[in-house]
Amino acid sequence: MRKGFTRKIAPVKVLSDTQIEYIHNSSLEVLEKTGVKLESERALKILKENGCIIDFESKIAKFPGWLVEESVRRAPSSFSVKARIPEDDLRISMSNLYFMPAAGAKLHDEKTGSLSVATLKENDQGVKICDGLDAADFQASYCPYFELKDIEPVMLLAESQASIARNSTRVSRGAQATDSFIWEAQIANAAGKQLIGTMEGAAPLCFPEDAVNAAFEYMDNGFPIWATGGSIMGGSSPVTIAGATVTNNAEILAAITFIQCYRPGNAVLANDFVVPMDMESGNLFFGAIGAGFHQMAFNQIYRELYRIPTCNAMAAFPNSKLIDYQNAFEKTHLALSAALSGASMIAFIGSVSQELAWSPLQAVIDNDAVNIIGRYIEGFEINDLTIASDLIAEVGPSPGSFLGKKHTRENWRRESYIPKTFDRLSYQDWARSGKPSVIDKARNSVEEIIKKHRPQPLSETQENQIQGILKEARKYYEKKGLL
Amino acid sequence: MPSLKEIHDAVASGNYKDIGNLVQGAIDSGETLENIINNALSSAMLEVGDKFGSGDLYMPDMLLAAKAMKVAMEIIKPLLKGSEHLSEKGTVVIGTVKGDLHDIGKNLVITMAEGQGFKVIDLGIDVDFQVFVDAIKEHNPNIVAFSGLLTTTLANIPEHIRAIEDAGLRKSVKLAVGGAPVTQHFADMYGIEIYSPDASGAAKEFLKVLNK
Repeated sequence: MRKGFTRKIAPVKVLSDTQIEYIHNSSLEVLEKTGVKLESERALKILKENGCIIDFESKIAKFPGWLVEESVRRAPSSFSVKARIPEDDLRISMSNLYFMPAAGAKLHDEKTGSLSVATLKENDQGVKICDGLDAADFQASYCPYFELKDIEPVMLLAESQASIARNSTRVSRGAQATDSFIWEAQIANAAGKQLIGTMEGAAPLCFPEDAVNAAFEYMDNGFPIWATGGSIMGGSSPVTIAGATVTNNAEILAAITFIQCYRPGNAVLANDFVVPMDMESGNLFFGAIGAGFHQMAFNQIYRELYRIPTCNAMAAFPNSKLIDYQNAFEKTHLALSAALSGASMIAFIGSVSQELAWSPLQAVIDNDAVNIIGRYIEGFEINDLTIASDLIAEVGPSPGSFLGKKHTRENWRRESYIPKTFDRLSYQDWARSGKPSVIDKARNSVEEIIKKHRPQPLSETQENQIQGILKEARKYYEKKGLL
Repeated sequence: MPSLKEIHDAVASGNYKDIGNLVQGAIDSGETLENIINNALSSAMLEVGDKFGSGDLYMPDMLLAAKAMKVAMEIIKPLLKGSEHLSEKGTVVIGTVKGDLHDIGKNLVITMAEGQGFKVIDLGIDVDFQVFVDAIKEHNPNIVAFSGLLTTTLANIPEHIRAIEDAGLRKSVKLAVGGAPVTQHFADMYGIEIYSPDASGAAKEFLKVLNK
């Protein structure tokens, strides 16, 4: 099982108990009075049988508060997800934290900031690089690129899941667009692993047909569900953090209720991806403080009241188009506040230029960053050995030194994470070695991973099965006129 | 009698509560509809669009201005009787492409296009190929505009175009495309005549193409 980071410090709180109740009650009011649209007659019938009031014409379900609270109780507070190899299995819980890569449409050029469409080979390499990073515990769906030169768009999600199965032994997420879930679930089964399957809303207060169909398929395969609303503050939710917290919460509680009515006890990872709108352009305002507060409140509510683990995806994307200070700051403050407030999973690694790009170089730099961010929740040990009173007495006042002591030699590594890509040279050494930047060092790390990292390959039978599934998928889309 | 400037200012500031009385007052006092449309309403929306483009106004300001414009046009339209051309520079059919549920960008384009005097037929989100074809047959638009936020759903745009070609309607319309992942290159690749990188520029591009 992957260890991730173990939470040893108490999560940071941004809400009082009464504020949590206030948000919960307001969310129930939305669910009871306004309701949530689910574009699936099958789902609406299930909800009706369980006590919801359904308007089949508008497809709006109104959820009684007792059913929502009962459903929340049924969702487990921790769960396991099977990877291709046992060492990569995940145990998602409120006492540990995993990190995952973000996905970006295109390949980023670090020198110019320009974007180009990646090939399937480059995607395979990107997956392999993520697999070679010690802190990338989980692979996203359509990862890392979601536009590929040699793949027809409708085949992208299936091909992407196959690329992950071939080049990584880790658990991955399943997507929901254009029936991709059928093939993604089959590919995961062929590879002997589970997915966390997406059920992603189209805010405000709506789950499209694809989302509900995907949830059915993934649950039928026994996979946990990644329940997410995905609203834009000021666009598809109120612009205020509190208002957006309530509508997003209502959306995710609706998903959880549907999930628990269909398959009681099915695991849910509640994902928070609510981004303010940039009112100057209509773009998403990544890196915004409003997003930070939103996910901190979300983590606290789901941890303290619902006991359901959370993922935070706001740190996944920077507005910066470059590998630079803005990129690092936009992502890091959101990932750090997510980690400190109790997230169980954080999307972070490799993203540049909003959702438009992914960079292998950024990925290895981000791997260093998350190793430091993750360490924050592990705190530091306080005991006789670490306090070292005897040693302090032995060394005494200046000119005494701790440098040559066994205690120093034995403990210095574990007290701090040592980044592989950050420059730590003296100025003279830095100048002598050609003034390398973090990007230069990242380039070396990427080359090393490509050269040395060899994820366990699929067996011939598994590969044949996956090829067969992709062939079936092509036939399916051809028949639908999409290929 | 309310002046044209007062009407202009009410639209520009998004005062949708008072605009109705102002427009009605101007009409009752004998102001021509043409003057109200061209010298108060359209000019106000043009100003709002320019200020949005320069960063002096923000999206909520623009949407409120559009709301005021709509209230004004609801009073004016029934009175036009045969001289609708005064208010309409052309017809645009617009929709978010199949598989895509995002409509903020599309709605902004509608706001700006209506503000510029276009008649806009909004087909909504996740619009099927055939719905576009049927809408072209029904409304005989000058422009058909595709909107999409997701790279994966942009894949459906060639299918949309093919459906329009198969119905023999391609030559009768100009096509437009927009959305976060869309580029001029993408538009060129599929022979789409109109592309704008942002919503505020879309209506100007519509005007440019129709005036050619």
